[in-house]
Amino acid sequence: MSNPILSINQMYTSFHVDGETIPAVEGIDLSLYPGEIVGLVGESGSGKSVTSLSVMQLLEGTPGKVTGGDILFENQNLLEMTDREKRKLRGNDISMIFQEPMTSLNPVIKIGKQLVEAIREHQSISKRGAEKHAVYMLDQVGIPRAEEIMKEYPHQLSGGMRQRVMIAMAMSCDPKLLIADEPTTALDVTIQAQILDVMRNMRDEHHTAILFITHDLGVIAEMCDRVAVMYAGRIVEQGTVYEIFENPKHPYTKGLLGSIPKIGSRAERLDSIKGQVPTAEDRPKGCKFANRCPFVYKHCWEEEPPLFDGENRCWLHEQKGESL
Amino acid sequence: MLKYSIKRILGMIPLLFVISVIAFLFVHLIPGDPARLIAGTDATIEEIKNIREKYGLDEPLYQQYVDYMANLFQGDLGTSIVSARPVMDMLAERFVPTLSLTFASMFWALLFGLLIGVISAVKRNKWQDHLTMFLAVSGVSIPSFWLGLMLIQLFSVQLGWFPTGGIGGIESYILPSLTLGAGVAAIIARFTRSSLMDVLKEDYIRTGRAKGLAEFKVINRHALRNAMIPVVTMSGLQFGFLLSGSIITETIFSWPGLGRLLINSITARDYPVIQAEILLFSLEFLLINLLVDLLYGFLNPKIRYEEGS
Repeated sequence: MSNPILSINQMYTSFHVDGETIPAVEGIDLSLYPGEIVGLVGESGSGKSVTSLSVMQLLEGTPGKVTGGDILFENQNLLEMTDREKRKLRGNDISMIFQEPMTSLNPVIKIGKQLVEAIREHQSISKRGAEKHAVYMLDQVGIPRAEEIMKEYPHQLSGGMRQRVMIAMAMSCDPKLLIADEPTTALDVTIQAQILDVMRNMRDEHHTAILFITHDLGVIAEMCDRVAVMYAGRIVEQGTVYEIFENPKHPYTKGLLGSIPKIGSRAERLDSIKGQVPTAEDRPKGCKFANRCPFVYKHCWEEEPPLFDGENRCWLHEQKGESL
Repeated sequence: MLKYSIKRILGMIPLLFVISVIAFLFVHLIPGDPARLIAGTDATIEEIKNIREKYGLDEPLYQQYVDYMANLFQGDLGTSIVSARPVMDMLAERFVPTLSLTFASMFWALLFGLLIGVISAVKRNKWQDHLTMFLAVSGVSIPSFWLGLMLIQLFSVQLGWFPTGGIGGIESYILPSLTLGAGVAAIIARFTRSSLMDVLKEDYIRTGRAKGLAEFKVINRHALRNAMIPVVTMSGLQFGFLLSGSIITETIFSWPGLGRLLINSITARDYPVIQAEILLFSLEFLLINLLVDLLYGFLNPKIRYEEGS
């Protein structure tokens, strides 16, 4: 396999609030290869979005900060770059689509101008040329009457349209890495399917690597090549989509898969994982899932499991694999 | 937009009519008799009676109102009881100094208010923020009579840079406009700060940063225009207040404006002048409100005034 485009190594991100340090992400390792779609799943509060903002270096202005590890983009450490170098990458080689299509576009600026701005920030191209490219991009993401939409304001478009505009904007500089943070969560299901199609086409045509963040396992199954499951700021299991869905190893992954409703099932109640994700202060000392795990035993409370075989963080699998 | 403006202006007519009734009643309810004030303390009853007849003050109130309105519709604001000059001329001659002082004050207020507001929002909770907000709080709390006198003491008496009062060249505008603008600047600064701080939390600001824009561009292109919407309303209101003339500042700097005319007319119970000033101030506010609404449409495309709206 070629070199990874993005490689996150032992990254720690924490938030400093009122003199206290709250860890959000604690030592995650994750790599993405060109043209690959990797899903990052987990419940709310597991650290998915913080991971994406850490990679985008968009934590400035929040109390959050990457406190350890490296984020290598094409073997260059993002954490050692100057602001200027980072801005050169952002929106150009690395772009992001956000969860909130309704509010992510500036309400007082025409769509066209917002797209042209993104293009001209990174490419030396005439205004006319940038406009042409913007129309092309809108066309690519399936927006009808792209020329007219260029002259409209965000409030004149529906949520699905706005998210397409955001994708067009994110893809306009032909990025090598696209981070999509729950891009379809706020949209209804038919629009969701269309947006996913658009993103898959982008990957196929431009060989863009996509980090796809969601809590929707259905979307993961449809979109991704590989999956990383996050829990309490850690990756507890990762593997190919096939491996994870066919043979989940970590009890948390099993729980997540078990909570998907199945067609033909006669169960009256959906299975669910008991309890909630512990807040950063209340995380158990040993395995972070210990307080909700149906298979928990003494050892789990005492020591945090390492990532066995580089795949899953559960003491139940200690015997099978060797500890790394 | 033209259609909308015309509609709004036509809508002002009934409103001004109501205001004229209130102004008339209000003014005539002020205790005190103008005839007695004009005639002086040693006047005879006969003299006072003559003055009353001359100005129609002996007629019943409704008759006085009907006469007043009849004149008003002919564009006649009446004659001053005190100076015997047409009220229209008096207002015209006082309006220009107040208007020019208002513009000068708003210039300072917007310049310093926006600058300070933006700096403190961007440098939130840093020393720049604390310093500028200290200035803003001072600007709101320092009474203008004190500020005006201090400025005169320092720049006119000690340094001799500017005249102590009166209207003349551009140098005569500096101190009164600073005195009048300081409070408004402070209000604008605080509004700008809180509005910009809210806008900077918006998702589209994050989008701007995700595009790779430098912070300066993010603020300049994406934050400021959105943040200006509430600031415009407030500035318009302040503009209206300044246009009514500031009694204190005009008095300190012997400025021949509407504020001093108003206070003098009230003391002398110069009914026609007081009524005319109230009408003028109301008209000013109505026009400024229209202007603010039109500016709104310019700033926020969601509320563009389309036909029929």
